[in-house]
Amino acid sequence: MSIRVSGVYVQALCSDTPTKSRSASDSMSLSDVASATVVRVASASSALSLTDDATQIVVSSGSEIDVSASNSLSLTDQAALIWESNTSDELTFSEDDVIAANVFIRSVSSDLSGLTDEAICSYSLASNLSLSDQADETADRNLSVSNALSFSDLASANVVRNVSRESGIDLSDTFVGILVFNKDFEDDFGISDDVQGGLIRNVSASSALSLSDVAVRIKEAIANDVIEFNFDAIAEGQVLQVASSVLSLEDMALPGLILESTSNVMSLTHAATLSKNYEESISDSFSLSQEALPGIVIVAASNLVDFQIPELYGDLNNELRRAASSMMEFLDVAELGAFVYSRSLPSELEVLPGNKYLNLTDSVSFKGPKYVTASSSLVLSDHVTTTNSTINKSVSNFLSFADKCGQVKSASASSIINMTHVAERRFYLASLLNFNDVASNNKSKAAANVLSLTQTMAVHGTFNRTIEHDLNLSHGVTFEIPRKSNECTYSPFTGSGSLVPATSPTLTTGSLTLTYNTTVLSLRNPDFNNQHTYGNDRINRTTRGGSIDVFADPKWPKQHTLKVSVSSLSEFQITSFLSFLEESLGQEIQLDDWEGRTWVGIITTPDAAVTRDRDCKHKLTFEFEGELQ
Amino acid sequence: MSFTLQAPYPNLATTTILPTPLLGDNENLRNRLDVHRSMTGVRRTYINSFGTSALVYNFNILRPKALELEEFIKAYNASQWRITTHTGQHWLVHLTNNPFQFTSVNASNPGREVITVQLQLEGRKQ
Repeated sequence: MSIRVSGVYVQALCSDTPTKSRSASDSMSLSDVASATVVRVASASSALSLTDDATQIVVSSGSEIDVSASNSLSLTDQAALIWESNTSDELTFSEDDVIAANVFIRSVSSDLSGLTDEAICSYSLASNLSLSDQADETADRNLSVSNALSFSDLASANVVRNVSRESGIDLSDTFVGILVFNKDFEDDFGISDDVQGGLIRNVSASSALSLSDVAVRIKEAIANDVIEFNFDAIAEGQVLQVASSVLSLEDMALPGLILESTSNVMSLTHAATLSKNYEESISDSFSLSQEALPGIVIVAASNLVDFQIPELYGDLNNELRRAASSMMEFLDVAELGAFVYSRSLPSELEVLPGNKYLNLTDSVSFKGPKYVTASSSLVLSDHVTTTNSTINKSVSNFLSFADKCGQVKSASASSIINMTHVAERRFYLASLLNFNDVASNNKSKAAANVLSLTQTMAVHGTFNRTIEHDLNLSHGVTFEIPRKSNECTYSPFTGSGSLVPATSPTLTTGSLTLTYNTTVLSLRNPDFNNQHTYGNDRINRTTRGGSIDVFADPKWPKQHTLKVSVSSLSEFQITSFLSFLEESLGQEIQLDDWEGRTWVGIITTPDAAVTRDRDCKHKLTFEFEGELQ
Repeated sequence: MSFTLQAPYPNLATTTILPTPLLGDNENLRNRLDVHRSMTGVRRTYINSFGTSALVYNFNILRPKALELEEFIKAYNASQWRITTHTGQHWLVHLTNNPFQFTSVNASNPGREVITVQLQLEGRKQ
């Protein structure tokens, strides 16, 4: 931060050498950043007392200095008069001092025209720099250029940043042209010009405030700055600049003052470019330049709705129309990102009776599959108050909605039109759609509304359906022919749907033969009392009421079992049977029975016994389970 | 009198005529009786009267008739039969014996074998 103050003040410097008097170069450069307290006293005794808490730098004038002749102090001898041990023209405060620790005084040139601090880090408590000029008599003489006080801070660790509660810079000139720089702990920086005399001159000189923030620390320090301009003499203006980018300019110009042209111009420029300088632009000047990346919602145009133009109301018609047209023209185009835009016309705006042409155009373009909704709510309400002298009156609204959405997904375009014309002499109740145009002077034709609603229903296709029902109808027919032979022969009387074959299977004669692979065993026909057992899976249930429910699926398995006994076999036959039984154990064999039928199955009695009764009278018994081929 | 089997009931489609069964046929009711006696000696009876009877008939039939009866049983072993006994009674019965056994007892030649077969039936008189 660089602060330049041009003021008028009186400076008197004294030397510690009583016999020397130097002419001042009318410039003073003070470089004080550290905790060193430099007190320049231009007392009546012309003594220059540089008092510091550090013992090494206590410079006290031993005798009086007559400064009345020149009233100036020239330190051009490289600080030889002040600090004899230092010939390098530097006023150095030793760091060994306890109090002056962490105090760095940069080189001070012999020319006191400027104080240049390039690297200042002050953390001590005694950082007060007090310039107090009370020499009343030298006021007129020191109104030259040489009275400039210049603080030039180039380093980031500036005084403003590092000032603690006790290290504020207080420039208070209470006499003429006093500038007070107050920097307190809360980073408030105030310029207060209290002009009591020399009104016009001092205002022009001290009203210029230039805040140039370059260093990083300065920028951080003013994140919450409140900058106030108080012009008590001429005008009052406040510039409130906060981090939220709210800028309020209030110029309360008194009659006849000259701030009219500058304070009424406000330029707000919004440009969507880079956002790097966004915050800087806010703090640098009164021009708000908001630079944001694409996607930041810019609502600057909507704020203009609240812009008050009171002088245009109630005057000429042309002024009114001009104001109306200018306020209706909003064209906001945003690219990329969500765009939320709302507008509203000021309710105070009134338009003279006549046709209104309002064209609202919202253009929303974007890139990417984002859902964008553009809607316009428009209410047109025309009220014409008639009088007896008015002849031709017309109320008309031309409303055009054009919604277009393209290249988006889930886009919707809708237009809602709601027209309500309220007149005094016609009332239509309970109408969903009501067009009511009434002229109140009763000289127009009767309003006619034709509403045609056409509904058309077309057949797109005919679909035939068939109904099918599985109804099982069965019938049974059987008969019986009483004959005696029916009890002995195969003679079932099969009717319609009978499951019993009408003819008997063919039976021949044969011998019992067992075959397994290539082994063939021929036996005698079995003895009587051979059994043929037929079994099947069947569900047989008796209900609680005693009725019998029997069910058997035809697919369920059925078993045929033959139990035969063969006797009068030879030893060779029974031995062969045992060998055959052992060889075909668990394997399917072929059985050719004595009726010429062939069965395939297994012998289910592997422990079938053979009985040797007498010579060549052996007997065997086995069971066979299989299917008839 | 012959012994007639007809099935399936009620859509009778096949009729088989068997000879008169052998003596020793059985007919018994299927009712059930539970007798409870109290401590005082009073008897209380609980009965289940189903109205059905169990019939047992033994036949000696020749081999061709045995084949016919086998086919009849194969076809209608799960159906309700209508039988006409040798006494002229009509019954609606179910075949209850399973498996069904054919036993050859004697014969003069292979085509004239005598087969013994037993029918166990249960049903009600029509």
